[in-house]
Amino acid sequence: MTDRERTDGWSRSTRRQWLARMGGLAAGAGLGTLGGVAGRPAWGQGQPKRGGILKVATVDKPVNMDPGYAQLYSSLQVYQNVYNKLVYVDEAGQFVPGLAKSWKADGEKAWVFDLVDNAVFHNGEPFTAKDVAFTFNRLLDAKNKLPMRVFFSPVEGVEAIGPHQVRFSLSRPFGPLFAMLSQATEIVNEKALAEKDPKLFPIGTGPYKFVEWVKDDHITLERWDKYFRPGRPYLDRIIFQAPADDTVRLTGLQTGRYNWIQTVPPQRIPELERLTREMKSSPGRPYFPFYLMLNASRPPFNDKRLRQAIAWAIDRSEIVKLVYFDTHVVTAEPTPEPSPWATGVNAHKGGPDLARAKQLLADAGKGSGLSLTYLVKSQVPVLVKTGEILREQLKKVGITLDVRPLESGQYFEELVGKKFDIAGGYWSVTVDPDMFYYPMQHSSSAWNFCGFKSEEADKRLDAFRFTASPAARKKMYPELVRWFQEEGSLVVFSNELQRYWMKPNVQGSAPLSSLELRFEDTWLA
Amino acid sequence: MILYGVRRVALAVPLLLGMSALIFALMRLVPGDPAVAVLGYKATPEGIAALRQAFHLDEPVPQQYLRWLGAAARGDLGHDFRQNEPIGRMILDRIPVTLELTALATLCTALLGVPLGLLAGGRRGGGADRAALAVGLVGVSLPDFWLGIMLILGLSLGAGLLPSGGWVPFAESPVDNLIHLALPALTLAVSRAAVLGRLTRAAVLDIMHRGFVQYARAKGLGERAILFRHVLPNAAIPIVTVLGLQVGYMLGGAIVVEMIFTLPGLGRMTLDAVLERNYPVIQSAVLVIGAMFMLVNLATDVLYGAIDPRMRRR
Repeated sequence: MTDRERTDGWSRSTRRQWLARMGGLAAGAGLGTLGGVAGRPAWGQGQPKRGGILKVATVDKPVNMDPGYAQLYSSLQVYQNVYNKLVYVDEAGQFVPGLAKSWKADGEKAWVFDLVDNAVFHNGEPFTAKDVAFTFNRLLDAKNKLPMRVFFSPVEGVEAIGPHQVRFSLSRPFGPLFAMLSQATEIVNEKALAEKDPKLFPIGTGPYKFVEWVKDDHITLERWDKYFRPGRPYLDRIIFQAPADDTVRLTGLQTGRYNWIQTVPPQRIPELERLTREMKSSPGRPYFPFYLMLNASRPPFNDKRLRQAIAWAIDRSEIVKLVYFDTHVVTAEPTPEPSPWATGVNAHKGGPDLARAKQLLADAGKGSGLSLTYLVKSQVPVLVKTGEILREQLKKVGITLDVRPLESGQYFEELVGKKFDIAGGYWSVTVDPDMFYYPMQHSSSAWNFCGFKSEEADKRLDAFRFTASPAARKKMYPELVRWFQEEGSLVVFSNELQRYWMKPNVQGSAPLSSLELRFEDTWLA
Repeated sequence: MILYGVRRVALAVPLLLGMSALIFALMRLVPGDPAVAVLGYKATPEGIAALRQAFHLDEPVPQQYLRWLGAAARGDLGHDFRQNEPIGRMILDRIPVTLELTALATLCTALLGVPLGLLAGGRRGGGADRAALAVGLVGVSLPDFWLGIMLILGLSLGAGLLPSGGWVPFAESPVDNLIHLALPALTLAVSRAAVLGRLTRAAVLDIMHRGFVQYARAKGLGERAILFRHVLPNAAIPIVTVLGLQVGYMLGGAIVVEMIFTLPGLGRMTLDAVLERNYPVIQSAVLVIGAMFMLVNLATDVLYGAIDPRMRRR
């Protein structure tokens, strides 16, 4: 069978499988259970088996395979299987070894990592500490203009202190270092980058090596036989495709063209959950906070009372029910259960409280009514619909909301230019809550689209970021959440459940807070 | 005949120029800065300025147009905003898919539409005519996106007869290639075949009342012989005209069909470029599609001359 034939799952065996299914011969498999294998993330049943092809349908097409750019999630989804990182985050949100087998702090401003000594790049180069130093020095060198550099500003340098040992030197203690390392810092090889354009031909030490990329069609990865983790990966090949439509993706799963898909139309979930012989889903995990951005750089939301009025007036449950068909969880914090960072803090518990919202409006001199604009990108229909529900909810407290869906160019112009009152948004990086609050609420951040500036906020965020002790950070976090709920300019209203859909025989694939599609532990029963 | 062809090609040049100017102007009329749209959340003032400079978006629009036109005339369609890939290469990689899909869909259109029209026109008022009219009416009313999904659900998911999408190059496996294109081509062909069927019926009815048909009938020729030997050749001009136009519409319809069946063609590339506001790609893709439409019309005109020698003298 050729690669091409494999990409669509259409072959004689597929037809036989279909006939078998129709005849009731195929065995349905139930949902797996949460569990880990030797500290590695896994979700599945039975004894892992080698072989088979995973045909994956993601949502967007990849554009750039160079991890230095980490340009789009759709690219990361593919190349994170080609490269390795020093550390990973597991399903429970704990950091587990990757290319670094262990690590220890050297004071508050340095970390020493011991690296594996049996990893090999797909070009045959052995992996050493020099590769780690090269990767980070490439990232930190301002001349290279790599966008990920901004996330490692406290890292002063990375040096190889032995063949398989590196030292990270920090300008100050850096709490989210491991979260950053587990998010998007794949280790590259200098020779490989020089040999082939990394944007098109990724070469890493990862479980799968790159085979081909047919633009607008598919990317094929193949098992790397010299992978440093014995016995892994299980699959022979992974073929990534990105059909542009939910229904096409779902039909592809049903026909066997794909055996793993990223999303399904939310309104069809109850029906699909009953098709246990045809498909199953991973557990849902809330890794995508949805929120309202209130423009605090100008009136009226430079007045804290009006920001609070909005937080009290909205009915989060109604939004989730009417717009998201219960594919979101109602929450007021960016990292709800089962995240290890979940606090349960909700300064607006018992809301919506319309009387309180009206009182706050009156106190701010807006008791007679307020007209606001809601900025939203027209290509995100759920956020447009959120705006429509919000308009009805705010009407009850005398606020007139003008929902303005704009095409992306105009949307970003107005968002970056802070020409809005309220804007709907979502965020995808929550391994550590610093990754949510710091970019969007610190006065120095380019992502602070709300224009929220507060010395107190900066002080709290800096303290949270620049504390090394995980225990100390955990202790200060609930108060940080409460403070931003009461003082900040973001109103978190829900969190989207990441839930993958697959054929019943696909095992060991579950959402991770890093959002990576790590197929190292995936196997076909 | 050659002179006729040359005259038609010469006429296509100003049309292409006009079309390119129109596309360029329309793209500039879309509100919002494309540099901001491409950079998104990373749209810092420096980043915007750098992108605008790199793609000459900071120049006056007429200058941008002339620069683009001059490069296009030399065969350089520029680079795309996102990946800085040469657009000429992007189009060359994808055009075979769209051309093959369109060719197959045209064949399906002719094979479905012409017999449908002949059947209806040849037996006016009869059961076959009424059935063909009903089929034609339903066919015209079916949008491609709906029909495509229904065919996937019915023939792919339900009956397991054909794949629900994907692409296998002809050179790799001709059989697989045709199997994979069967549903997309059928999707694209159905509504066009319905239009062609109705037109064929009208043309056949018109010819059937002509004197030479009465004469053939009086001579004792059978209805089938009259239909195929005398009526069909005389109805060919309107049929070819509509088929030519349908090919043009199919190039546009391929955008939706390529998306539904995940075919890596020109249509899908164009749609992605529209969603990303990838100006240079949209401009070039629309220009290429427009040029293809013109070529089809030119071929249709030339075909007129072959079908009816009187046309060559006009």
